[in-house]
Amino acid sequence: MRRYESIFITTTGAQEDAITALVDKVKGQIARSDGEVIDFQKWGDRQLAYEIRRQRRGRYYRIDFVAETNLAELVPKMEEIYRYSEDVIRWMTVRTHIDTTLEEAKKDVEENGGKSPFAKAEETEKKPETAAAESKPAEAKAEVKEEAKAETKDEEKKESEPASA
Amino acid sequence: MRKHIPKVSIFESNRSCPFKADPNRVIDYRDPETLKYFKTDRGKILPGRITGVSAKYRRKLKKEIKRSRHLALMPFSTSSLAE
Repeated sequence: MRRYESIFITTTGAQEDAITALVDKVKGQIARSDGEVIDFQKWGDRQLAYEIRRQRRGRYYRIDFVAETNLAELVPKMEEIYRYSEDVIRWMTVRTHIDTTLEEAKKDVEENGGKSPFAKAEETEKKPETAAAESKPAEAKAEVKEEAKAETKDEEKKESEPASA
Repeated sequence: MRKHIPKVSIFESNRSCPFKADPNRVIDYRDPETLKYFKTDRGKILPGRITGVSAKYRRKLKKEIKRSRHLALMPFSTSSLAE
């Protein structure tokens, strides 16, 4: 089984139900390739490093999934969905593991959580402001490091990065 | 006859590679906070002779920075940021 993660960014003004509909379509594509979504995260809003389609802020989502068959079709189909959506402004699908099992992947998600990496940035921003909320971002930071560590142990990474319209 | 030019530039830093020293240190495109130490204030990726990173990790670093840029977690160039 191969494991992938697909990150996409939507506008902050996007409707919640439109996004869920989109995500369901994507999950459908994954299921069609005998794959399974093992994690879905909403990272939340963030300031973009540069303007995309006149937007300064974006909303980040992440899908973590495994798939086996029809791989040549799967990712392009997913990207088609992203491309046709009016809300999605950027996407990137990356292969994170080339040889893993569903159980391993699920276990990895359980153990390493995969919290939003923005928790780190928030931590440094919020430090002068709130001291009470410190414990939560600090935990998230440790979890992100662990998950990233597990994923960098693999040999290959393949990416498909279409340019945004 | 050509002047003898020493191989080592006088501007070269003698730092050791931080990733070789600590195998737990991860390079990840989702983590711009650690990546930002390897670029200039203009947003350019720093060369190995400045950062002291070894070739293997430098390649990975470059790749991850470029991915991070694609996801707008890091800028391509800070001059493009309108204030």
